[in-house]
Amino acid sequence: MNRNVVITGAGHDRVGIVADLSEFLFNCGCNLLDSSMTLLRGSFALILMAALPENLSIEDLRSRLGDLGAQWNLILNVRELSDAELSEKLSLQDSFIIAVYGADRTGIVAGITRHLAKLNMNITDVATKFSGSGEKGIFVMILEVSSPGDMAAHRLQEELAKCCGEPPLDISVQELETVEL
Amino acid sequence: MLRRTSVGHQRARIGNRGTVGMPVRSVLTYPDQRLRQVSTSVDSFDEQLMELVRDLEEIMYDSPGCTGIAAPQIGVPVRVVIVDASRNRKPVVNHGGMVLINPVVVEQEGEVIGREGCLSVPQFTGNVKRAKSIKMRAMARDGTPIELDTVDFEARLILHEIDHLDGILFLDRVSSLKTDIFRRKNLEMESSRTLLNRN
Repeated sequence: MNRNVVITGAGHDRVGIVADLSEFLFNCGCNLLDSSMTLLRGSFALILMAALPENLSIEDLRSRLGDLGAQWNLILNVRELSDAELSEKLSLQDSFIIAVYGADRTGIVAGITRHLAKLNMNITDVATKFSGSGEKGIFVMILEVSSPGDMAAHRLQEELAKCCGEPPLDISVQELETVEL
Repeated sequence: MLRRTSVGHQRARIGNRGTVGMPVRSVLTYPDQRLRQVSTSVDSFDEQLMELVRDLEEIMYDSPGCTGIAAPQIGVPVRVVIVDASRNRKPVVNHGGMVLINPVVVEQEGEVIGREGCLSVPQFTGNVKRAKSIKMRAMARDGTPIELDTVDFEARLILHEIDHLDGILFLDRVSSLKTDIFRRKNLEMESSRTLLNRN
């Protein structure tokens, strides 16, 4: 029976984190599936799916990664993936890329994403960046969402503008239609 | 209507070719390295070229939702592309079915992200930035010159197919959401300079 895990973790950035982790997994006989790893300021964060070989138990992997994590200054979690989590719902729904930016204040992400949830829009990717300090601080968020229905990009933009509060944010919505070329 | 006539026409040809016993060429998929070669220009409009165009049309019209194909995708490294933007799932600005021989983009304007899928890379789709509008020159299947301006989907389609002629796949052009916006370096210095200038 196939067993698959998701490894999540974060730690102080340095050269060689991905090499150390992937080399260890390779030597254990694991096969990497999908992953997303990124540097957020000085902290390196990772989410990584892997298929385990027959001779490696999840408990064994967890304990070995616990020890190595301490050595590498990374906090690593290992969790078994269900088949449902492993499968991807291929959707023909249209996606949107939404860019939101403006003077920084609290509640931008909460306000926008709550409204998207009310519209039954599923967030498939989100990244935010804050840069600057005090009144000069600018906040930027890029979201990728998939839409359940046939909402036009300009309507979504109007909807989000209504909920963004004061001072107003700049919001742009771009439709991302998958095309077969 | 045009499209239907065209499909019927192609089907009839498949039948004819079937009786001659010619196999239909199949679409190469990555990592086939032939997708990476730069195609050569067409200089003679002979029967061989007509046959190639017919093969390309056959494959495109038989692949659901497919709106374009380039000759190198079936292993023939020559600068021939066929497109039919009217086959897109949603109605778009289009010039219908076209054979584009030695196509060249002479002007590009704007930038739009779209998610592209490709017969030669069936495993993935990717977000690719392309021009919003283009001016293109090519020759039709009989050698007559074509010049056309187009926008949005059809522009993307033509740019994607011309990339195949240069051995470029959409995977070479994917834009990452996570890396499209960078934090500015030396920001503190810059903002204080701005403040000084304002004062």
